[in-house]
Amino acid sequence: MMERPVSGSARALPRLALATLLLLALFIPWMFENQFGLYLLDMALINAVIALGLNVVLKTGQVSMAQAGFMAIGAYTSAQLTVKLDVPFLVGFVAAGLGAALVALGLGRIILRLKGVYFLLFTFALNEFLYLLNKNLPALTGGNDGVVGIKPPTIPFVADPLRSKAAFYYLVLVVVSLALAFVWALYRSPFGRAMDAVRESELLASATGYNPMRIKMIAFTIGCLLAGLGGSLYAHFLLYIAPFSFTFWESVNFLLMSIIGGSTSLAGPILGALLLTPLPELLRAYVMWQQVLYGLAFMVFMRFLPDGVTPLCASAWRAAVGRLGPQAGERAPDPRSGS
Amino acid sequence: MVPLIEVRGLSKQFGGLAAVADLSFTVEPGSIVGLIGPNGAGKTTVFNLITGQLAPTAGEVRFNGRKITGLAPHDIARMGLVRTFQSTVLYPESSVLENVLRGCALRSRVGFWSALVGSRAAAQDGAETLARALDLLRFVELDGVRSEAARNLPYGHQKALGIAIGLATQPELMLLDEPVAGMNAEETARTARLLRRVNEGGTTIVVVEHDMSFVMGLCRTIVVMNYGRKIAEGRPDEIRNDPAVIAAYLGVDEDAAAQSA
Repeated sequence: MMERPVSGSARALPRLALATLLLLALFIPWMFENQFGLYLLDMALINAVIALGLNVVLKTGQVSMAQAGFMAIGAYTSAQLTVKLDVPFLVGFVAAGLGAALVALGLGRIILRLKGVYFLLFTFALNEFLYLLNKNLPALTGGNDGVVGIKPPTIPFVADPLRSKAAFYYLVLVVVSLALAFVWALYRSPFGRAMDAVRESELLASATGYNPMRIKMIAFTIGCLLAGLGGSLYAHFLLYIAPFSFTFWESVNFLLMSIIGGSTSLAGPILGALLLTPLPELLRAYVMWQQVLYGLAFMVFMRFLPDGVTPLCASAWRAAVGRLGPQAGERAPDPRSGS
Repeated sequence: MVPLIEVRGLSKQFGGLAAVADLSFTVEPGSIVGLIGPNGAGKTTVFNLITGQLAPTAGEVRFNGRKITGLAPHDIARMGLVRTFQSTVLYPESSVLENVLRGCALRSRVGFWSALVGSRAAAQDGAETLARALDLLRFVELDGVRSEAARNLPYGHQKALGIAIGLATQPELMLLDEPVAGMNAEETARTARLLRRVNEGGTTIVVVEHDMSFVMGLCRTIVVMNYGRKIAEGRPDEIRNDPAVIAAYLGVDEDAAAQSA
Protein backbone atom coordinates (compact mmCIF):
# COMPACT_ATOMS: atom_id res chain seq x y z
CA MET A 1 0.00 0.00 0.00
CA MET A 2 1.35 3.37 -0.95
CA GLU A 3 0.94 6.18 1.50
CA ARG A 4 0.52 9.21 -0.58
CA PRO A 5 -1.25 12.34 0.43
CA VAL A 6 -4.75 12.16 -0.99
CA SER A 7 -6.71 15.34 -1.27
CA GLY A 8 -9.70 15.75 1.04
CA SER A 9 -12.41 15.47 -1.58
CA ALA A 10 -10.83 12.42 -3.20
CA ARG A 11 -10.86 10.77 0.18
CA ALA A 12 -14.42 11.85 0.94
CA LEU A 13 -15.91 10.54 -2.28
CA PRO A 14 -15.30 6.81 -1.78
CA ARG A 15 -16.56 7.26 1.78
CA LEU A 16 -19.72 8.86 0.45
CA ALA A 17 -20.16 6.00 -2.00
CA LEU A 18 -19.60 3.48 0.80
CA ALA A 19 -22.16 5.23 2.98
CA THR A 20 -24.65 5.14 0.11
CA LEU A 21 -24.01 1.44 -0.33
CA LEU A 22 -24.60 0.84 3.36
CA LEU A 23 -27.79 2.90 3.21
CA LEU A 24 -28.99 0.82 0.26
CA ALA A 25 -28.18 -2.33 2.23
CA LEU A 26 -30.64 -1.16 4.88
CA PHE A 27 -33.51 -1.35 2.40
CA ILE A 28 -32.70 -4.77 0.97
CA PRO A 29 -35.33 -6.70 2.99
CA TRP A 30 -38.03 -4.66 1.20
CA MET A 31 -36.62 -5.55 -2.19
CA PHE A 32 -36.76 -9.29 -1.63
CA GLU A 33 -40.12 -10.68 -2.58
CA ASN A 34 -39.40 -14.25 -1.58
CA GLN A 35 -38.18 -15.36 1.80
CA PHE A 36 -35.76 -17.84 0.28
CA GLY A 37 -33.73 -15.05 -1.31
CA LEU A 38 -33.51 -13.34 2.05
CA TYR A 39 -32.54 -16.61 3.70
CA LEU A 40 -29.65 -16.98 1.23
CA LEU A 41 -28.58 -13.39 1.85
CA ASP A 42 -28.52 -13.95 5.61
CA MET A 43 -26.47 -17.11 5.15
CA ALA A 44 -24.12 -15.31 2.78
CA LEU A 45 -23.47 -12.57 5.33
CA ILE A 46 -22.85 -15.12 8.11
CA ASN A 47 -20.39 -16.86 5.77
CA ALA A 48 -18.83 -13.48 5.01
CA VAL A 49 -17.91 -12.97 8.69
CA ILE A 50 -16.19 -16.37 8.76
CA ALA A 51 -14.47 -15.93 5.37
CA LEU A 52 -13.26 -12.51 6.55
CA GLY A 53 -11.68 -14.24 9.54
CA LEU A 54 -9.92 -16.68 7.22
CA ASN A 55 -8.68 -13.70 5.19
CA VAL A 56 -6.84 -12.42 8.30
CA VAL A 57 -5.12 -15.80 8.69
CA LEU A 58 -4.27 -15.95 4.97
CA LYS A 59 -2.71 -12.50 5.19
CA THR A 60 0.15 -13.96 7.25
CA GLY A 61 0.66 -16.67 4.62
CA GLN A 62 -0.95 -19.52 6.60
CA VAL A 63 -3.67 -21.51 4.81
CA SER A 64 -6.07 -22.85 7.45
CA MET A 65 -8.43 -25.74 6.70
CA ALA A 66 -9.97 -25.60 10.17
CA GLN A 67 -12.18 -22.54 9.77
CA ALA A 68 -15.36 -24.68 9.94
CA GLY A 69 -13.99 -26.36 13.06
CA PHE A 70 -13.61 -23.01 14.83
CA MET A 71 -17.03 -22.03 13.53
CA ALA A 72 -18.34 -25.21 15.21
CA ILE A 73 -16.69 -24.28 18.52
CA GLY A 74 -18.53 -20.96 18.41
CA ALA A 75 -21.82 -22.51 17.30
CA TYR A 76 -21.86 -25.19 20.02
CA THR A 77 -20.69 -22.79 22.73
CA SER A 78 -23.39 -20.29 21.94
CA ALA A 79 -26.10 -22.93 21.41
CA GLN A 80 -25.44 -24.88 24.59
CA LEU A 81 -25.01 -21.79 26.77
CA THR A 82 -28.34 -20.37 25.65
CA VAL A 83 -30.24 -23.68 25.61
CA LYS A 84 -28.86 -25.37 28.73
CA LEU A 85 -27.94 -22.38 30.90
CA ASP A 86 -30.46 -19.97 29.43
CA VAL A 87 -27.97 -17.09 29.15
CA PRO A 88 -28.93 -14.14 26.89
CA PHE A 89 -27.97 -14.37 23.22
CA LEU A 90 -25.35 -11.62 23.43
CA VAL A 91 -23.50 -13.45 26.22
CA GLY A 92 -23.51 -16.65 24.16
CA PHE A 93 -22.39 -14.70 21.09
CA VAL A 94 -19.40 -13.15 22.88
CA ALA A 95 -18.55 -16.45 24.57
CA ALA A 96 -18.61 -18.14 21.14
CA GLY A 97 -16.01 -15.73 19.80
CA LEU A 98 -13.85 -15.88 22.92
CA GLY A 99 -14.09 -19.68 23.09
CA ALA A 100 -12.87 -20.12 19.53
CA ALA A 101 -10.16 -17.48 20.07
CA LEU A 102 -8.93 -19.18 23.25
CA VAL A 103 -8.65 -22.57 21.53
CA ALA A 104 -6.77 -20.87 18.67
CA LEU A 105 -4.45 -19.16 21.13
CA GLY A 106 -3.73 -22.45 22.92
CA LEU A 107 -3.15 -24.45 19.75
CA GLY A 108 -1.41 -21.67 17.86
CA ARG A 109 1.84 -21.85 19.79
CA ILE A 110 2.31 -25.40 18.57
CA ILE A 111 0.73 -25.50 15.13
CA LEU A 112 1.88 -22.11 13.84
CA ARG A 113 5.43 -23.43 13.81
CA LEU A 114 4.29 -25.47 10.83
CA LYS A 115 4.50 -23.79 7.46
CA GLY A 116 2.95 -24.17 4.04
CA VAL A 117 1.48 -27.56 3.29
CA TYR A 118 2.26 -28.90 6.78
CA PHE A 119 0.13 -26.24 8.43
CA LEU A 120 -2.60 -26.94 5.90
CA LEU A 121 -2.49 -30.69 6.61
CA PHE A 122 -2.52 -30.20 10.36
CA THR A 123 -5.51 -27.85 10.26
CA PHE A 124 -7.26 -30.36 7.99
CA ALA A 125 -6.69 -33.05 10.63
CA LEU A 126 -7.80 -30.62 13.35
CA ASN A 127 -11.06 -29.99 11.52
CA GLU A 128 -11.68 -33.75 11.29
CA PHE A 129 -10.82 -34.15 14.96
CA LEU A 130 -13.31 -31.46 15.99
CA TYR A 131 -15.92 -33.05 13.70
CA LEU A 132 -15.48 -36.45 15.37
CA LEU A 133 -15.59 -34.79 18.77
CA ASN A 134 -18.91 -33.19 17.87
CA LYS A 135 -20.25 -36.58 16.75
CA ASN A 136 -18.98 -38.64 19.67
CA LEU A 137 -19.45 -36.42 22.72
CA PRO A 138 -23.25 -36.50 23.04
CA ALA A 139 -23.16 -35.12 26.57
CA LEU A 140 -21.53 -31.94 25.33
CA THR A 141 -22.67 -31.65 21.71
CA GLY A 142 -25.76 -33.82 21.37
CA GLY A 143 -23.79 -36.21 19.17
CA ASN A 144 -25.20 -36.96 15.73
CA ASP A 145 -28.56 -35.47 16.68
CA GLY A 146 -26.98 -32.09 17.28
CA VAL A 147 -28.54 -29.33 19.34
CA VAL A 148 -32.22 -28.55 18.79
CA GLY A 149 -34.42 -25.83 20.19
CA ILE A 150 -31.90 -23.00 19.85
CA LYS A 151 -33.66 -19.69 20.38
CA PRO A 152 -33.57 -16.82 17.91
CA PRO A 153 -31.38 -13.89 19.01
CA THR A 154 -32.73 -11.45 21.55
CA ILE A 155 -31.21 -7.99 21.64
CA PRO A 156 -31.46 -5.59 24.58
CA PHE A 157 -34.04 -2.80 24.05
CA VAL A 158 -35.56 -4.74 21.14
CA ALA A 159 -38.86 -6.18 22.28
CA ASP A 160 -39.14 -9.27 20.08
CA PRO A 161 -36.59 -11.97 19.37
CA LEU A 162 -35.22 -11.69 15.83
CA ARG A 163 -37.40 -14.46 14.40
CA SER A 164 -37.90 -13.20 10.87
CA LYS A 165 -35.22 -13.36 8.21
CA ALA A 166 -35.53 -9.62 7.73
CA ALA A 167 -34.92 -8.90 11.42
CA PHE A 168 -31.99 -11.28 11.47
CA TYR A 169 -30.62 -9.57 8.39
CA TYR A 170 -30.11 -6.34 10.34
CA LEU A 171 -28.29 -8.13 13.12
CA VAL A 172 -25.89 -9.86 10.75
CA LEU A 173 -25.46 -6.63 8.75
CA VAL A 174 -24.30 -4.89 11.93
CA VAL A 175 -21.90 -7.74 12.74
CA VAL A 176 -20.46 -7.81 9.19
CA SER A 177 -20.02 -4.02 9.21
CA LEU A 178 -18.28 -4.01 12.59
CA ALA A 179 -16.05 -6.95 11.62
CA LEU A 180 -15.20 -5.27 8.32
CA ALA A 181 -14.39 -1.97 10.04
CA PHE A 182 -12.19 -3.76 12.56
CA VAL A 183 -10.25 -5.74 9.96
CA TRP A 184 -9.96 -2.65 7.75
CA ALA A 185 -8.41 -0.70 10.66
CA LEU A 186 -6.16 -3.67 11.42
CA TYR A 187 -4.88 -3.90 7.83
CA ARG A 188 -4.06 -0.23 7.52
CA SER A 189 -2.33 -0.12 10.94
CA PRO A 190 1.36 -1.05 11.29
CA PHE A 191 0.17 -4.52 12.24
CA GLY A 192 -1.22 -4.93 8.71
CA ARG A 193 2.24 -4.08 7.40
CA ALA A 194 3.72 -6.67 9.76
CA MET A 195 1.36 -9.36 8.45
CA ASP A 196 2.32 -8.54 4.85
CA ALA A 197 6.01 -8.68 5.79
CA VAL A 198 5.68 -12.11 7.42
CA ARG A 199 3.73 -13.46 4.44
CA GLU A 200 6.20 -12.21 1.85
CA SER A 201 9.45 -13.14 3.61
CA GLU A 202 9.53 -14.52 7.12
CA LEU A 203 13.34 -14.60 6.92
CA LEU A 204 13.66 -10.90 6.14
CA ALA A 205 10.86 -9.97 8.56
CA SER A 206 12.54 -11.69 11.49
CA ALA A 207 15.97 -10.34 10.54
CA THR A 208 14.59 -6.78 10.68
CA GLY A 209 12.85 -7.06 14.02
CA TYR A 210 9.40 -8.53 13.37
CA ASN A 211 8.43 -11.45 15.59
CA PRO A 212 6.76 -13.78 13.05
CA MET A 213 5.38 -16.16 15.70
CA ARG A 214 3.65 -13.36 17.62
CA ILE A 215 2.24 -11.82 14.45
CA LYS A 216 0.90 -15.16 13.21
CA MET A 217 -0.56 -15.91 16.66
CA ILE A 218 -2.49 -12.64 16.78
CA ALA A 219 -3.76 -13.06 13.22
CA PHE A 220 -4.80 -16.69 13.80
CA THR A 221 -6.59 -15.77 17.03
CA ILE A 222 -8.48 -12.90 15.37
CA GLY A 223 -9.38 -15.14 12.42
CA CYS A 224 -10.75 -17.85 14.70
CA LEU A 225 -12.57 -15.28 16.84
CA LEU A 226 -14.50 -14.20 13.75
CA ALA A 227 -15.17 -17.86 12.89
CA GLY A 228 -16.59 -18.37 16.40
CA LEU A 229 -18.82 -15.28 16.13
CA GLY A 230 -20.04 -16.46 12.73
CA GLY A 231 -20.74 -19.89 14.21
CA SER A 232 -22.93 -18.32 16.89
CA LEU A 233 -24.90 -16.37 14.27
CA TYR A 234 -25.30 -19.58 12.27
CA ALA A 235 -26.68 -21.49 15.27
CA HIS A 236 -29.19 -18.77 16.19
CA PHE A 237 -30.27 -18.37 12.57
CA LEU A 238 -30.97 -22.03 11.71
CA LEU A 239 -32.00 -22.80 15.33
CA TYR A 240 -30.49 -26.26 14.90
CA ILE A 241 -26.88 -27.42 14.56
CA ALA A 242 -25.35 -30.82 13.92
CA PRO A 243 -21.84 -32.11 13.15
CA PHE A 244 -22.43 -32.35 9.38
CA SER A 245 -22.61 -28.53 9.14
CA PHE A 246 -18.96 -28.17 10.13
CA THR A 247 -17.15 -30.71 7.97
CA PHE A 248 -13.91 -30.37 6.10
CA TRP A 249 -15.94 -29.40 3.01
CA GLU A 250 -17.23 -26.33 4.81
CA SER A 251 -13.63 -25.29 5.47
CA VAL A 252 -12.88 -25.77 1.79
CA ASN A 253 -15.89 -23.59 1.04
CA PHE A 254 -14.56 -20.72 3.17
CA LEU A 255 -11.22 -21.03 1.43
CA LEU A 256 -12.94 -20.93 -1.97
CA MET A 257 -14.86 -17.82 -0.92
CA SER A 258 -11.60 -16.13 -0.03
CA ILE A 259 -9.86 -17.15 -3.24
CA ILE A 260 -12.74 -16.54 -5.65
CA GLY A 261 -13.49 -13.20 -4.02
CA GLY A 262 -9.81 -12.33 -3.97
CA SER A 263 -7.59 -13.10 -1.00
CA THR A 264 -5.52 -9.93 -1.37
CA SER A 265 -8.30 -7.51 -0.55
CA LEU A 266 -10.90 -6.92 2.11
CA ALA A 267 -13.86 -6.96 -0.27
CA GLY A 268 -12.73 -10.43 -1.41
CA PRO A 269 -14.25 -12.61 1.31
CA ILE A 270 -17.48 -10.56 1.29
CA LEU A 271 -17.91 -10.86 -2.49
CA GLY A 272 -16.83 -14.51 -2.35
CA ALA A 273 -19.47 -15.32 0.27
CA LEU A 274 -22.18 -13.44 -1.66
CA LEU A 275 -21.26 -15.34 -4.84
CA LEU A 276 -20.69 -18.83 -3.45
CA THR A 277 -23.44 -19.14 -0.87
CA PRO A 278 -26.29 -19.14 -3.42
CA LEU A 279 -24.31 -21.09 -6.03
CA PRO A 280 -25.40 -24.61 -4.97
CA GLU A 281 -29.02 -23.40 -5.15
CA LEU A 282 -28.54 -21.96 -8.63
CA LEU A 283 -27.03 -25.23 -9.78
CA ARG A 284 -29.75 -27.30 -8.13
CA ALA A 285 -31.44 -28.04 -11.48
CA TYR A 286 -28.27 -29.78 -12.57
CA VAL A 287 -27.79 -31.58 -9.31
CA MET A 288 -25.82 -34.39 -10.97
CA TRP A 289 -23.40 -31.88 -12.35
CA GLN A 290 -23.26 -29.61 -9.33
CA GLN A 291 -19.85 -30.73 -8.05
CA VAL A 292 -18.43 -30.85 -11.56
CA LEU A 293 -19.60 -27.34 -12.38
CA TYR A 294 -18.29 -26.16 -9.05
CA GLY A 295 -14.88 -27.62 -9.77
CA LEU A 296 -14.87 -26.20 -13.30
CA ALA A 297 -15.77 -22.74 -12.04
CA PHE A 298 -12.96 -22.97 -9.52
CA MET A 299 -10.39 -23.96 -12.17
CA VAL A 300 -11.51 -21.18 -14.47
CA PHE A 301 -11.01 -18.72 -11.61
CA MET A 302 -7.55 -20.02 -10.77
CA ARG A 303 -6.54 -19.82 -14.42
CA PHE A 304 -8.02 -16.48 -15.46
CA LEU A 305 -8.71 -14.57 -12.25
CA PRO A 306 -6.14 -15.68 -9.69
CA ASP A 307 -6.76 -12.48 -7.71
CA GLY A 308 -10.48 -13.18 -7.64
CA VAL A 309 -13.35 -10.99 -8.78
CA THR A 310 -12.36 -8.07 -6.57
CA PRO A 311 -10.00 -6.40 -9.09
CA LEU A 312 -12.85 -6.46 -11.64
CA CYS A 313 -15.25 -4.92 -9.13
CA ALA A 314 -12.56 -2.48 -8.02
CA SER A 315 -12.07 -1.09 -11.50
CA ALA A 316 -15.83 -0.87 -11.97
CA TRP A 317 -16.01 0.91 -8.62
CA ARG A 318 -13.25 3.32 -9.60
CA ALA A 319 -14.96 4.00 -12.91
CA ALA A 320 -18.26 4.68 -11.13
CA VAL A 321 -16.68 6.89 -8.49
CA GLY A 322 -14.53 8.58 -11.12
CA ARG A 323 -17.62 9.56 -13.04
CA LEU A 324 -19.05 11.16 -9.92
CA GLY A 325 -16.18 13.59 -9.54
CA PRO A 326 -12.93 14.48 -11.27
CA GLN A 327 -10.85 14.42 -8.06
CA ALA A 328 -11.03 10.69 -7.62
CA GLY A 329 -9.25 10.13 -10.91
CA GLU A 330 -6.15 11.82 -9.53
CA ARG A 331 -5.59 9.19 -6.88
CA ALA A 332 -2.25 7.49 -6.99
CA PRO A 333 -2.49 4.21 -8.88
CA ASP A 334 -2.11 1.05 -6.88
CA PRO A 335 1.53 0.01 -7.32
CA ARG A 336 0.44 -3.62 -7.54
CA SER A 337 -1.77 -3.05 -10.53
CA GLY A 338 0.58 -0.46 -12.01
CA SER A 339 3.60 -2.71 -12.41
CA MET B 1 37.12 0.32 24.85
CA VAL B 2 34.43 -2.36 25.11
CA PRO B 3 34.21 -4.10 21.74
CA LEU B 4 30.88 -3.70 19.96
CA ILE B 5 30.86 -7.34 19.14
CA GLU B 6 32.89 -10.12 20.67
CA VAL B 7 32.88 -13.60 19.18
CA ARG B 8 34.39 -16.15 21.54
CA GLY B 9 35.15 -19.80 20.72
CA LEU B 10 32.27 -19.94 18.25
CA SER B 11 31.75 -23.40 16.68
CA LYS B 12 29.11 -24.94 14.45
CA GLN B 13 29.02 -28.59 13.57
CA PHE B 14 26.86 -29.84 10.69
CA GLY B 15 26.95 -33.60 11.22
CA GLY B 16 30.61 -34.49 10.74
CA LEU B 17 31.49 -31.15 9.18
CA ALA B 18 32.88 -28.32 11.29
CA ALA B 19 31.54 -25.30 9.41
CA VAL B 20 32.91 -22.95 12.07
CA ALA B 21 35.56 -24.09 14.54
CA ASP B 22 36.61 -22.21 17.65
CA LEU B 23 36.36 -18.80 16.00
CA SER B 24 37.17 -15.68 18.02
CA PHE B 25 37.38 -12.06 16.95
CA THR B 26 36.21 -8.64 18.10
CA VAL B 27 34.83 -5.64 16.28
CA GLU B 28 35.45 -2.15 17.65
CA PRO B 29 32.65 0.42 17.46
CA GLY B 30 32.86 2.61 14.37
CA SER B 31 35.08 0.28 12.37
CA ILE B 32 34.64 -1.50 9.06
CA VAL B 33 35.78 -5.10 9.31
CA GLY B 34 36.13 -7.50 6.39
CA LEU B 35 35.52 -11.22 6.80
CA ILE B 36 37.10 -13.10 3.91
CA GLY B 37 38.09 -16.61 2.96
CA PRO B 38 37.76 -19.14 0.14
CA ASN B 39 34.33 -20.56 -0.77
CA GLY B 40 32.98 -22.79 1.98
CA ALA B 41 35.20 -21.23 4.64
CA GLY B 42 32.14 -20.66 6.87
CA LYS B 43 31.66 -16.90 6.52
CA THR B 44 27.91 -16.92 5.96
CA THR B 45 27.53 -19.48 8.76
CA VAL B 46 29.26 -17.00 11.07
CA PHE B 47 26.64 -14.37 10.12
CA ASN B 48 23.83 -16.88 10.71
CA LEU B 49 25.29 -17.69 14.13
CA ILE B 50 25.68 -14.04 15.14
CA THR B 51 22.16 -12.99 14.10
CA GLY B 52 20.43 -16.02 15.59
CA GLN B 53 19.31 -17.78 12.40
CA LEU B 54 21.45 -20.72 13.55
CA ALA B 55 22.33 -21.90 17.07
CA PRO B 56 26.05 -22.53 17.67
CA THR B 57 27.36 -25.89 18.84
CA ALA B 58 29.73 -24.08 21.22
CA GLY B 59 30.92 -20.60 22.03
CA GLU B 60 29.11 -17.32 22.38
CA VAL B 61 28.63 -13.89 20.88
CA ARG B 62 28.48 -10.69 22.94
CA PHE B 63 26.98 -7.49 21.58
CA ASN B 64 27.72 -4.35 23.58
CA GLY B 65 28.89 -6.66 26.36
CA ARG B 66 25.58 -8.55 26.44
CA LYS B 67 25.39 -12.20 25.48
CA ILE B 68 23.11 -12.54 22.45
CA THR B 69 23.68 -16.23 21.72
CA GLY B 70 20.37 -18.06 22.04
CA LEU B 71 18.21 -15.01 21.35
CA ALA B 72 15.71 -15.04 18.48
CA PRO B 73 16.64 -13.13 15.28
CA HIS B 74 14.00 -10.45 15.86
CA ASP B 75 15.26 -9.81 19.40
CA ILE B 76 18.82 -9.40 18.10
CA ALA B 77 17.58 -7.03 15.37
CA ARG B 78 15.78 -4.97 18.02
CA MET B 79 19.08 -4.54 19.88
CA GLY B 80 20.55 -2.85 16.81
CA LEU B 81 22.28 -5.69 14.97
CA VAL B 82 20.98 -6.25 11.47
CA ARG B 83 22.18 -8.19 8.44
CA THR B 84 21.67 -8.41 4.69
CA PHE B 85 21.52 -11.67 2.79
CA GLN B 86 23.83 -13.09 0.15
CA SER B 87 21.12 -13.98 -2.35
CA THR B 88 19.21 -10.75 -1.92
CA VAL B 89 16.15 -11.30 0.26
CA LEU B 90 13.45 -8.68 -0.27
CA TYR B 91 9.66 -8.41 -0.16
CA PRO B 92 9.42 -9.16 -3.89
CA GLU B 93 5.77 -8.29 -4.60
CA SER B 94 5.80 -4.99 -2.71
CA SER B 95 6.92 -1.58 -3.86
CA VAL B 96 10.43 -0.34 -3.14
CA LEU B 97 9.02 2.23 -0.73
CA GLU B 98 6.92 -0.38 1.09
CA ASN B 99 10.04 -2.55 1.49
CA VAL B 100 11.84 0.26 3.29
CA LEU B 101 8.75 1.19 5.34
CA ARG B 102 8.68 -2.36 6.71
CA GLY B 103 12.28 -1.93 7.82
CA CYS B 104 11.37 1.39 9.49
CA ALA B 105 8.61 -0.29 11.50
CA LEU B 106 11.11 -1.62 14.04
CA ARG B 107 11.73 1.87 15.42
CA SER B 108 8.08 2.91 15.44
CA ARG B 109 6.81 3.64 18.92
CA VAL B 110 3.08 3.44 18.27
CA GLY B 111 1.11 0.85 20.20
CA PHE B 112 -1.21 -1.74 18.65
CA TRP B 113 -4.48 -0.17 19.86
CA SER B 114 -3.37 3.40 19.28
CA ALA B 115 -2.62 2.52 15.67
CA LEU B 116 -5.85 0.54 15.33
CA VAL B 117 -8.08 3.46 16.28
CA GLY B 118 -5.99 5.79 14.10
CA SER B 119 -4.89 8.15 16.89
CA ARG B 120 -3.16 11.45 16.25
CA ALA B 121 0.12 9.99 17.55
CA ALA B 122 -0.19 7.10 15.10
CA ALA B 123 -0.81 9.48 12.19
CA GLN B 124 2.20 11.58 13.17
CA ASP B 125 4.37 8.48 13.52
CA GLY B 126 3.20 7.32 10.10
CA ALA B 127 4.16 10.66 8.55
CA GLU B 128 7.59 10.63 10.21
CA THR B 129 8.19 7.05 9.11
CA LEU B 130 7.27 7.93 5.54
CA ALA B 131 9.66 10.91 5.56
CA ARG B 132 12.44 8.73 6.95
CA ALA B 133 11.85 6.03 4.31
CA LEU B 134 11.94 8.59 1.51
CA ASP B 135 15.20 10.02 2.92
CA LEU B 136 16.71 6.56 2.92
CA LEU B 137 15.63 5.96 -0.67
CA ARG B 138 17.34 9.18 -1.71
CA PHE B 139 20.42 8.08 0.24
CA VAL B 140 20.71 4.80 -1.69
CA GLU B 141 19.63 6.53 -4.93
CA LEU B 142 16.44 4.52 -5.35
CA ASP B 143 13.89 7.33 -4.96
CA GLY B 144 13.30 7.28 -8.72
CA VAL B 145 11.92 3.73 -8.63
CA ARG B 146 10.08 3.83 -5.32
CA SER B 147 6.73 2.67 -6.78
CA GLU B 148 8.31 -0.24 -8.65
CA ALA B 149 7.78 -3.77 -7.31
CA ALA B 150 11.04 -4.95 -5.75
CA ARG B 151 11.22 -8.06 -7.95
CA ASN B 152 11.32 -5.87 -11.08
CA LEU B 153 14.48 -4.03 -10.04
CA PRO B 154 17.80 -4.76 -11.70
CA TYR B 155 20.20 -6.78 -9.57
CA GLY B 156 22.34 -3.87 -8.39
CA HIS B 157 19.28 -1.93 -7.26
CA GLN B 158 18.01 -4.98 -5.37
CA LYS B 159 21.28 -5.12 -3.45
CA ALA B 160 20.98 -1.41 -2.64
CA LEU B 161 17.39 -1.94 -1.50
CA GLY B 162 18.53 -4.76 0.78
CA ILE B 163 20.99 -2.33 2.40
CA ALA B 164 18.28 0.34 2.68
CA ILE B 165 15.92 -2.06 4.49
CA GLY B 166 18.72 -2.86 6.93
CA LEU B 167 19.51 0.82 7.47
CA ALA B 168 15.84 1.53 8.05
CA THR B 169 16.08 -0.39 11.33
CA GLN B 170 18.70 2.17 12.48
CA PRO B 171 21.31 -0.46 13.35
CA GLU B 172 24.41 0.01 15.43
CA LEU B 173 26.07 -2.85 13.60
CA MET B 174 25.34 -4.04 10.10
CA LEU B 175 26.50 -7.38 8.69
CA LEU B 176 26.67 -7.36 4.90
CA ASP B 177 26.87 -10.68 3.05
CA GLU B 178 28.54 -10.15 -0.34
CA PRO B 179 27.09 -6.69 -1.04
CA VAL B 180 28.86 -6.29 -4.40
CA ALA B 181 28.77 -9.86 -5.75
CA GLY B 182 27.75 -9.74 -9.40
CA MET B 183 28.18 -5.97 -9.68
CA ASN B 184 30.25 -4.20 -12.31
CA ALA B 185 33.16 -1.94 -11.35
CA GLU B 186 31.09 1.22 -11.33
CA GLU B 187 28.32 -0.27 -9.17
CA THR B 188 30.97 -1.68 -6.82
CA ALA B 189 32.59 1.73 -6.43
CA ARG B 190 29.20 3.32 -5.77
CA THR B 191 28.43 0.70 -3.09
CA ALA B 192 31.83 1.30 -1.44
CA ARG B 193 31.08 5.06 -1.29
CA LEU B 194 27.64 4.31 0.12
CA LEU B 195 29.00 2.03 2.85
CA ARG B 196 31.65 4.60 3.80
CA ARG B 197 28.91 7.18 4.25
CA VAL B 198 26.87 4.70 6.32
CA ASN B 199 29.94 4.15 8.47
CA GLU B 200 30.52 7.89 8.86
CA GLY B 201 26.94 8.08 10.09
CA GLY B 202 27.99 5.95 13.05
CA THR B 203 27.09 2.44 11.91
CA THR B 204 29.75 -0.22 12.40
CA ILE B 205 30.08 -2.60 9.46
CA VAL B 206 31.21 -6.19 9.04
CA VAL B 207 31.35 -7.26 5.42
CA VAL B 208 31.78 -10.67 3.77
CA GLU B 209 32.99 -10.27 0.21
CA HIS B 210 35.07 -12.04 -2.45
CA ASP B 211 35.99 -8.88 -4.34
CA MET B 212 39.47 -8.34 -2.85
CA SER B 213 40.09 -4.81 -4.08
CA PHE B 214 36.69 -3.80 -2.64
CA VAL B 215 37.53 -5.33 0.75
CA MET B 216 41.11 -4.02 0.83
CA GLY B 217 39.93 -0.52 -0.06
CA LEU B 218 37.04 -0.39 2.40
CA CYS B 219 38.16 -2.24 5.54
CA ARG B 220 40.70 -1.25 8.14
CA THR B 221 40.71 -4.71 9.70
CA ILE B 222 40.35 -8.02 7.92
CA VAL B 223 39.65 -11.45 9.40
CA VAL B 224 40.53 -14.40 7.18
CA MET B 225 38.85 -17.78 7.56
CA ASN B 226 39.55 -21.16 6.02
CA TYR B 227 37.80 -24.45 6.82
CA GLY B 228 35.87 -22.73 9.61
CA ARG B 229 38.96 -21.44 11.41
CA LYS B 230 40.51 -18.01 11.64
CA ILE B 231 43.89 -18.15 9.90
CA ALA B 232 44.81 -14.46 9.98
CA GLU B 233 43.69 -11.06 11.24
CA GLY B 234 45.15 -7.66 10.57
CA ARG B 235 45.39 -4.56 8.37
CA PRO B 236 44.89 -5.02 4.61
CA ASP B 237 48.63 -4.72 3.88
CA GLU B 238 49.43 -7.35 6.52
CA ILE B 239 46.81 -9.71 5.12
CA ARG B 240 48.05 -9.30 1.55
CA ASN B 241 51.49 -10.60 2.53
CA ASP B 242 50.44 -13.22 5.07
CA PRO B 243 51.82 -16.62 4.00
CA ALA B 244 48.91 -18.53 5.55
CA VAL B 245 46.42 -16.41 3.59
CA ILE B 246 48.30 -16.86 0.34
CA ALA B 247 48.43 -20.60 0.95
CA ALA B 248 44.68 -20.71 1.67
CA TYR B 249 43.77 -18.90 -1.52
CA LEU B 250 46.34 -20.48 -3.84
CA GLY B 251 46.66 -23.90 -2.22
CA VAL B 252 49.68 -25.36 -0.45
CA ASP B 253 50.49 -27.77 -3.25
CA GLU B 254 53.86 -26.53 -4.53
CA ASP B 255 53.12 -27.34 -8.17
CA ALA B 256 49.71 -25.64 -8.09
CA ALA B 257 51.24 -22.63 -6.37
CA ALA B 258 53.94 -22.41 -9.02
CA GLN B 259 51.37 -22.70 -11.81
CA SER B 260 49.17 -19.97 -10.37
CA ALA B 261 52.13 -17.67 -9.96
